Amino acid sequence: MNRRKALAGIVAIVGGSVAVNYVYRNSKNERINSLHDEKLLIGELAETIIPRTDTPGAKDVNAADTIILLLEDCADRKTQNNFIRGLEKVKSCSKSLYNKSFFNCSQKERELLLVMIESEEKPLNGFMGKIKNKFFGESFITTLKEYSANAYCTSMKGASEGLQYIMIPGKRIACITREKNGKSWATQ
Amino acid sequence: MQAPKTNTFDAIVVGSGISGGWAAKELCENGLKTLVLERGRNVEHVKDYHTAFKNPWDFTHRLNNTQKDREDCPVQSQVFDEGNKHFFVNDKEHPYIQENPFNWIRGYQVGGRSLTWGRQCYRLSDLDFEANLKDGIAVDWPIRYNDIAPWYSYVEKYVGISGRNEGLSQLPDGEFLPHIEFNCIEDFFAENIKKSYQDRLVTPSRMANLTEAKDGRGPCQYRNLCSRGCPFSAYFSSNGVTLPAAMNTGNLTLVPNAIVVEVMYDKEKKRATGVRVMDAITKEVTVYYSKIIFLNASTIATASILLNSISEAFPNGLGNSSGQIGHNLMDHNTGAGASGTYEGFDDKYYFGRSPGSIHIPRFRNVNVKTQQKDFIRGYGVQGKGERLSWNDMYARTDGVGSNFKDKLTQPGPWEIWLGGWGETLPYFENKIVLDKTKKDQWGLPLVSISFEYQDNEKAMRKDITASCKEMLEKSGFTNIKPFDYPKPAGSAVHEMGTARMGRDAKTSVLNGNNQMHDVPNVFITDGSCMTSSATQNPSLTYMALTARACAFAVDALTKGDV
Repeated sequence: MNRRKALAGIVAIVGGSVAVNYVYRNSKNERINSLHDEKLLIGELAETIIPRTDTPGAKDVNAADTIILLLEDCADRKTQNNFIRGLEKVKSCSKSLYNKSFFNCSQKERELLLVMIESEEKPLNGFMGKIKNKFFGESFITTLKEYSANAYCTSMKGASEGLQYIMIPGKRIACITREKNGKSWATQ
Repeated sequence: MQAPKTNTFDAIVVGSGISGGWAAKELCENGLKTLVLERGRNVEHVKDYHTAFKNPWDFTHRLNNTQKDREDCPVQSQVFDEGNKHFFVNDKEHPYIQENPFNWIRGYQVGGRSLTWGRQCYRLSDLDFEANLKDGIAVDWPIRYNDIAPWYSYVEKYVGISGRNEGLSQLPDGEFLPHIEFNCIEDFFAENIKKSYQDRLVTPSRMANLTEAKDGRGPCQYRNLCSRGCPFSAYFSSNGVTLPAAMNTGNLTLVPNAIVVEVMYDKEKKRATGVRVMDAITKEVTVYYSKIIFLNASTIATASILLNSISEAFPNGLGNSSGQIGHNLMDHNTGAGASGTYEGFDDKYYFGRSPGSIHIPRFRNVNVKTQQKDFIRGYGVQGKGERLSWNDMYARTDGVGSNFKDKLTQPGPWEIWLGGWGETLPYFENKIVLDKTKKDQWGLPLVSISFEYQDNEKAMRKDITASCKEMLEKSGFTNIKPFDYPKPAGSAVHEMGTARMGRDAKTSVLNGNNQMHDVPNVFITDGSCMTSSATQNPSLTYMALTARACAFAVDALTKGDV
């Protein structure tokens, strides 16, 4: 099958899903409220991604609150639903893999679980990836990492302790020597 | 809209953006009682920059746009963020018709888009002013570089522009403050371009940002938050510079929330008599009279005011005997280029956030040696070099946990991003018209925009992508990603051409002094006057043409010519 035909096939398949989605588009996503009940789990997931080390971690900046707000207000409905399904998947995977809840897993077990989901959901590169995202929304792990990073790096503690932040630099030095393992600027 | 004491002025200026601000300053300083009408709300310098000192965590959505933003403002939300969206219109409240996709970015407030502009300032050259004549395209510019050069200097000295003179014929030198220095990757790239190419160089972008304090303004604090409004007055805006200067003369009357419905015309005197204005809030209609009128509402809005100014003498719009008003719409052709990363300089970084970037002046079709077979004219390349930061790294880093956190919180590889700003030819078919069957909430007909790039622009885009890729390759970059995004026209926010200057009243709207051929007391000095688009960011040219036209108008008024 040549590339053109393959694309036509994809468009036909997602065309169907667009029609179904359209019916629901103008109503609020009822399922989104369930995110608030999952705040603890979202907090633990964010901490797994950005753990406390010698600098604050995701829980120290209440990342879960920001992640939920971004999901509610900024994410499109498909991305929201992918995220809600992703949370269920985390729960079922921790049961099937470790026979315990995600809360009772060690940091190592949690990381392994998320890496497994990441490799499974690994986005397609290039044009095909863009088409897929447009019609199906962002994957759970992509959103989780994006919003965890956003919540952390734009928080006061994350920006000023996890990274470097100066509201008013006052001057520019075009080239400076960076200390070994020196932090990144929080804003560009 | 607060009613002024009188309805009669020496001059009326429609619009308070970058060119309207200059018209206000020049006319007021020349002693003319001047009324400036702005359709949007008032924005007071500093006082109304309520996001200027906010930290990322002070914003509810951490500077991300919401789904509601995207629904209410499908066009403006492509360029605004939570920190500056109050300086862009709500698309739902200000609809327009797109016959083809066209991003009409607008800022309805005192200061207009001078609050959010890109601040890059470049002179046009005779390569640009002579181009239409040489190529036999559209009409000839009625001016040459020598006509505008002193006015470029006049404006540059007042605005305060940081930059470096390079002695190039296609990008003339100017009156500059010290330039913003390259960081180490930009330096490295510039050195390599110098070694690899005879026909091009990398120069610091010429920015209306003050690298030194000037006239009680600035200097730049290197926050790179310009589009929120600068509490240090360190970049040029109408609000911070020209409007206060006009106000200081005692000759300025500024009326916000004043939508100009039409310019009125007296067929006996063959002059415009004033403007009819609707209050944006109460919808009350007022008429103002003046001896001269400057239209500076921005390219599309100015054309729509003219097209809506119907009289017995001008059934197709004021001063439209040529039939050119609304036509020849141009924008710079952007969205093509390349990016690449560089392995090295890991121990180097920078302090302070630069509001500037790098610029590669036009190098195609500059002379016989650089002549292209697939397209005429050329493009400038703009770019930026920096180290990738968390907002790139989260998506580029696999895995989770402390390793992910280290990558996220430490500077990533150095990257250079390059994009072309391509000249767009003036096509009669690219136009705005008024759709009288559809009205906005003020009962005014909607603007309908038709715009398509043609073969010359398409061929140029291919060359932009290829040349950006090649420059990165020759400079030792890796992970090079050429791109050619199908961005809607208008995305450069450089609309131009809808009331062009020319030598002949039959084929152009304005003469060489930006004066309407048909209506000698109406002057137009916003982007609509442009006869060709050139490749340069156009605001500096609007400012210089405005100052020049004001001097002409004041002189003509004194002599009783208008």
